[in-house]
Amino acid sequence: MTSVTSTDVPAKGKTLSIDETAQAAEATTASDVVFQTKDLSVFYGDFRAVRDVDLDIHQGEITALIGPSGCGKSTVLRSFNRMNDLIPTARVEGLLQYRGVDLYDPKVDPVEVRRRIGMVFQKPNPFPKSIFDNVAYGPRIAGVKNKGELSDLVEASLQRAALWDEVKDRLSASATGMSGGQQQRLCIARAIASSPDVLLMDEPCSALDPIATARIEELMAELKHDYTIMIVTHNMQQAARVSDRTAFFTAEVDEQNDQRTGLLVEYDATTTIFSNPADERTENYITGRFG
Amino acid sequence: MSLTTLGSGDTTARVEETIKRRGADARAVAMMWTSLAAAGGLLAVVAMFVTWYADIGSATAWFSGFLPPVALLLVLAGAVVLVGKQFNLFGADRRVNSDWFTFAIFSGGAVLLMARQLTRGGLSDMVYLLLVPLVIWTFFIGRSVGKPSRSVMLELEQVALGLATVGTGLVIVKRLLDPEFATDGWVWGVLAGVAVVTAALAASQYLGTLSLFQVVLFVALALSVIILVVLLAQVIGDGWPVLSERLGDFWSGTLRSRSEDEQLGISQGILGSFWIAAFVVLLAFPIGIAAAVYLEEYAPRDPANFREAVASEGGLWLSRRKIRLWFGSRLTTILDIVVRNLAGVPSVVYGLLGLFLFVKSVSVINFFFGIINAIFGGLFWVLQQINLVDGEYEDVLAEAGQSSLFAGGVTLAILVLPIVIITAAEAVRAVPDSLRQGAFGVGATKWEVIKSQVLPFAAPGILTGTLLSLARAVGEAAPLILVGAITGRLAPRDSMFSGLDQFFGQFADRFTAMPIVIVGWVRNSGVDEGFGPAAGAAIVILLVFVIMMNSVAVLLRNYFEKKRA
Repeated sequence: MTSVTSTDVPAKGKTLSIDETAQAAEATTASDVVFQTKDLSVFYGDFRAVRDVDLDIHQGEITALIGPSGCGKSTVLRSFNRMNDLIPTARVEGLLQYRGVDLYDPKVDPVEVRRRIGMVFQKPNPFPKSIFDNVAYGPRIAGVKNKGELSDLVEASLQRAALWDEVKDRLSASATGMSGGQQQRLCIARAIASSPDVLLMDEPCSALDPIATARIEELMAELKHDYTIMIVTHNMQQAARVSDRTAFFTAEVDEQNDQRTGLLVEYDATTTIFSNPADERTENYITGRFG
Repeated sequence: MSLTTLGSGDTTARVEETIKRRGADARAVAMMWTSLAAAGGLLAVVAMFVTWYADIGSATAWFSGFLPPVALLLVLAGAVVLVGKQFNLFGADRRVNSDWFTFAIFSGGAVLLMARQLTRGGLSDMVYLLLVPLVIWTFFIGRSVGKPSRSVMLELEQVALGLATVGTGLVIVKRLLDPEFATDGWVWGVLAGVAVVTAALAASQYLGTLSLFQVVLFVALALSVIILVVLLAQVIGDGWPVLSERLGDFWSGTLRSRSEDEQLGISQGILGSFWIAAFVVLLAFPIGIAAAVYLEEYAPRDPANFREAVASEGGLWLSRRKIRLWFGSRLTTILDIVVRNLAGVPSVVYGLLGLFLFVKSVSVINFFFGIINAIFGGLFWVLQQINLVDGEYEDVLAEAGQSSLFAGGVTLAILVLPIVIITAAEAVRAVPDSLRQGAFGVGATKWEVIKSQVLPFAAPGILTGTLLSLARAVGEAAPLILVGAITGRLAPRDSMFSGLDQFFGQFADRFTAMPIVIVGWVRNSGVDEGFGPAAGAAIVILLVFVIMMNSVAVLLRNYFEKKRA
């Protein structure tokens, strides 16, 4: 975070295309690691919200971030596509690499980052436009003008989001008239339509009923073949059901100024975290003994 | 309840008992006052009929024959229902419906009565309208005395209702004793309307249909509607001779020095107001909306950024970033305050600004006219090259130092600019953040987010605000007087479509506008009575335009809101 205006104006000089640099980096590291963080801290002004996060996010997997409220899971997730830049005081320290590129390098354009790393939010937030226009929004701003191409993209995205059969006859209807579960799948379709590499999901099911939740979970299992997915969830069963790896965060309270700083406790395969956690705090949390 | 309970040692029961008693006290007081208010209101209405029938022979309006009986029937029916309900004559189960029925009948009767009374005209006895602020004032005190207990609230409310009733009653008694007193009927109409509405509302509160707060709201609404209706009726009545007899000539006529002149009319005022509106639309709207978007979406706001920069760079080092952040957040705060204060500056002050800037200041006016001349000259040259026009272009806007349509239009555009900014900024602020995040989340740039999400969502609010400010600009007279709009006689221009020179020339020429025309005529009506009806007719026409503008604002708002849902 360099300044307030960095949300849409890349630093002067040549803007690095993430693709080019990513290819170059891949040639040298040749790994399936999508994100790599080292000593990542996120600040809001002077206040350190999260500290010392070391994570390797792997290609084609679902990584769940779990932990009690206020431990900085969402903050960490939002720093992966620079959504935190929209908060004027937010600032990131430490290393956060996406396929070998430092995401917070002044030469990296946050708009490009967000196009490559899509996001689904806690509360379904369809635009007050038609279903078609919602899904076509990303491609359109990316410059797709051809009508046929657009409608193909919309259809493909809606099909991937398992929504096509429900809405194919009313694509021009307003998206705000759909049910909550449909709206959230529409938001997933909207994110997919920009053909991202990674999908970040910030508690995508917290506003949905169990049936809609189950549908989203099915959908995630489908999508992980093509996209790397990171999900923040309060629901431990959900993390256990859908994710391949789980990161457990907790918060420590600084008695002096009464501030809570989140930190990463343990990060491992989901089965290990839920059956044989290495850290006592993790065990206490997943067995429900955590206060 | 009983003495034994009160005497016992159980504290909780005693406190409860006290609360109950206080409640019963309050209810009793409420019942007495509301009954008194209702009775007083009814008395007022009856007294009005008595006095009407005394002088019905002199009434000339076409509806004076059948209106009073109809109104009387309605009010009597309402009274029967009201009294019947007091004694549960209609059964308790249809309570809500019959309350509304009563209310509707009462207000219907009151409106008819007032319509009848309004035809009498005259502006005396305004002093009795002081009762209206008195009622409002008492309600206001009642609501603002800290957080009073329920019973105190009830008492204050009843005092207010009682005051209204007693005031009305006093007027009635005075009238009955002294036939010469208050013969102008419309004051009676207002008083009776207020009394009836208040009494009906008090009754429905007593009967439990409306809460105290609803009653306050209804009384406020009724008062404003009554006053508006009175004013409207007065103005339409004044202007009726002109509107009914020579509307066409009046529309196409010009400013004249004598009211008997056949060519007296408002065409110059309409044209001037039209161009002023055009200046506002072209200058104030785009600048104001753009400023609002900047203030809400771009302006640096958070001083925490500066503190963070100090923390990370050290406090002593004076870096460009720190200067920018400090100045930025402070500047935004200052801009906010300035805009808000500008919106509250009296319009006369803007008139002074316009006078010095666009009328007296030769260099400023030459600068602006120079730009316009350059544009127009270039256009003229191009048209000449393709043989569309003949002749030479002379600088049509060369005259400086005199009042001009340009000065008036720009002054009013500046006047409404802060209002446009504030309303548009509020509309932009109301856009939910989730929309912005959703758009940012798929890789939109800031401007794309604003263009595709923020502005469409804020459009209804922006439109309403801007169109309302346009209505304000069109109705504004004070700044135009200072800028030098013509109130007396203005020589008619050739048609503005007779040539490009004529078209552009009118912006540098002297001008007038609808509010100015009205002010001039009202002032002259003291000497030449014929200007009175002309002024009334002009007011009606201006009102029609303003109401049309506001209706367009409402329709557009509904349209865009439907679109966004």
